[in-house]
Amino acid sequence: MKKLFSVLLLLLIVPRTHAQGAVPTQADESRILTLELAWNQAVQGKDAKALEILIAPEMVYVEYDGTLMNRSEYLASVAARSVHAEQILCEPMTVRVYGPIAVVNGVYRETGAKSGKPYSHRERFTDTWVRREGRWLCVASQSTLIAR
Amino acid sequence: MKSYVASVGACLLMVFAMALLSLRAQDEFSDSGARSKIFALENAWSQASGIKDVKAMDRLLDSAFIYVDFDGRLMTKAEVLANVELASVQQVVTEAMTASLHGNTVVVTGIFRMKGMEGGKPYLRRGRFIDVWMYKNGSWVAISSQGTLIAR
Repeated sequence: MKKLFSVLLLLLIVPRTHAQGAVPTQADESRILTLELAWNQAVQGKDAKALEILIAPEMVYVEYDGTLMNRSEYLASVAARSVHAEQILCEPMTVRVYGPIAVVNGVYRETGAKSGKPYSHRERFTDTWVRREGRWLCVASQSTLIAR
Repeated sequence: MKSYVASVGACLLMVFAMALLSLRAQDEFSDSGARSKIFALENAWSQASGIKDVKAMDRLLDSAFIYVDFDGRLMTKAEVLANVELASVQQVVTEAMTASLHGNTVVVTGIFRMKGMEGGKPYLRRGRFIDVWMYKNGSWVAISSQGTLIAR
């Protein structure tokens, strides 16, 4: 199932030949929103292969507690057995596309278990995507807890 | 003959000017050129926040700029500028900045220390930020910024 998800994801992020160089902004927006949802699904399924397709090698990630991670640290944190994200629900997101750069702002609610203890977070995030060789890759992601 | 010399001179001047502009543009997008420029702009932004310089901040932020505060609040550029004078911040210092260049865009990661007074009590906040800068119409402007407090 994981393999199938990764293949579907790869098909999704590689644009069709006729669209290269002339992808309208709206198409980019919906593509990026789909990638954001795929990212959540990959985290829930601890699908490292799917995440590797979405994240640029130089990606920087700031966790809700201020921890800074590079790509491999982030992938390891998702794969960690002590943390299990059971559900990630996204509220409406906004995408601003600046040619080959896109910035996404949104809110998500994550529930799960960490070291056996249940948790529930509501976080606001900013993700920065770069279009590289026809593919959108995330180069920066940051989350901040929303004060209740 | 005079007009021929003048035309050649004008052409040479134009070529020289174009070469200078091209060199300047190359420097804007060279790794070291962009980094040092952006770090200087980050420091200018911090300083502007501390002294509540709305005009300086207006120049640094893109019209579509979006900011996510350390408490998860989302603000537009207008809201950020309106908040500058009301904010309790007295000093902002940035440190440990790193930057990665993506064409005409730079992603900066760093740590901020913020000092201020709230309800008559001093506070000190330390957080991590990611700012995104873009070269638009001949100058660098911030298009996005988010802060997250670092758990102690």
